[in-house]
Amino acid sequence: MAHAREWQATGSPDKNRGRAAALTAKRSRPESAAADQPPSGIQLEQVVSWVLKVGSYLSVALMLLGIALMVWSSRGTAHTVAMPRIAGLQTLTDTPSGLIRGAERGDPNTIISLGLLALIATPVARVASTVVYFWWKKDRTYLAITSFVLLVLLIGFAVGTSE
Amino acid sequence: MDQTQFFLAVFAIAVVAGVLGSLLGLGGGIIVIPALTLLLGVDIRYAVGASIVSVIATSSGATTAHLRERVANLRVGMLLEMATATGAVLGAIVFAHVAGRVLYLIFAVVLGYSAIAMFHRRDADRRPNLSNDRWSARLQLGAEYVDRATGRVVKYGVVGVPAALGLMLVAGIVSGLLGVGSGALKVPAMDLAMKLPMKVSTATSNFMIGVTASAGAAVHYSQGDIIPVVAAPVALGVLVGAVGGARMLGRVQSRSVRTLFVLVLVAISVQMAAKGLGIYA
Repeated sequence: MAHAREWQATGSPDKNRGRAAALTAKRSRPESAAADQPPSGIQLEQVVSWVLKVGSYLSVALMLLGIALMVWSSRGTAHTVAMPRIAGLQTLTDTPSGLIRGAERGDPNTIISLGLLALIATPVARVASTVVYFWWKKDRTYLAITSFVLLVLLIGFAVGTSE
Repeated sequence: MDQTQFFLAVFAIAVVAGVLGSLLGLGGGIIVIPALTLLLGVDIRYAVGASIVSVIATSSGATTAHLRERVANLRVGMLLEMATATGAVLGAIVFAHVAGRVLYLIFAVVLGYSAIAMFHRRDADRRPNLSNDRWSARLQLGAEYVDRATGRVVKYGVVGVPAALGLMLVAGIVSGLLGVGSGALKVPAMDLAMKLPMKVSTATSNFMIGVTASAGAAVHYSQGDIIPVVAAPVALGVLVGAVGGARMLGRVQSRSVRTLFVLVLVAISVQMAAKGLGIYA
């Protein structure tokens, strides 16, 4: 906040207004043109939207499939949801080899877990997709910004899951 | 309660959490955790695991809907993610052993202050800030969006980038430490430091919260806190609710979004104060 005021104090008000107006004009022209006609080239919003949609649909499909199998297999037994029993099942789904074995058997819990993992991985995939986008667009500033976020995320994953 | 009934109850709770979360830029934990533990008797550990999943589901669901209307400012979001992600990792690793109670009280005071300050800016929604600071000009942060409620194109500038980065670092550390407040601190920071329009702040917060939560979710998953029977209906319900809430955001007046946000902020502040004083676990 203080920074903004400092900057405004250094130039004359008119000059500032001119610069701000020029900036908004420069930024808004391609965007308002994009609203009128199909945009040329792939937009950042399209990339982000596509990655988020694929991740969400994949996880929804897996979770629905798993829940359907779970409800189907327990039909007629009318058993109550007992938390300790469920916690026991988790040992199968928290290691990669366990996940593979469970998926081969068509275990509902494993299929749901894969859906949850797809959901958890989606934001990381989104950040990675923006890194590729800015690399492709040769935008060094945002390439650096998005690469930094991806790096911090991966460090977080590595340190967090190793403990 | 049999399994199907349990799924449906969790799903219904999650839809509500998704709508509110995506409307206000929050993760939905304030609804998911108390509802699961108090109403359905789910162990707090699994409720926390499900709530972190709900943050990611809110983010993904709301953002896909927001992008169509271009309300979320992706450049602002990507820039601030540098600070929130760093803060979250620092909070989780370095400060993991700091005593919690004082932190909850500090958090309560900060949120209370934010609520008052945001309420004072309630007339700002009519005249958006148009100036840009040096950083914002260089990073092309200023943008525009179509406000569905008024049918007008709202042009806005972005100021206070260094201050916002500092606040986001703190927000990240706090959410890493306490596992709460992913959006409750992000929205005020964007509103008060960057002077963004209210809808842009909540939509951009939604865009960002998924990233901070994903690293945390991986930790919870590896610890076995995210269990399928609880987390899956939460995720499905929140996704449905978040898409609906994001569509709603377009049509609701900015001022109403702000008022609702301030009320929820006060509620979280009271909840945190109660935790800090040891009244409520």
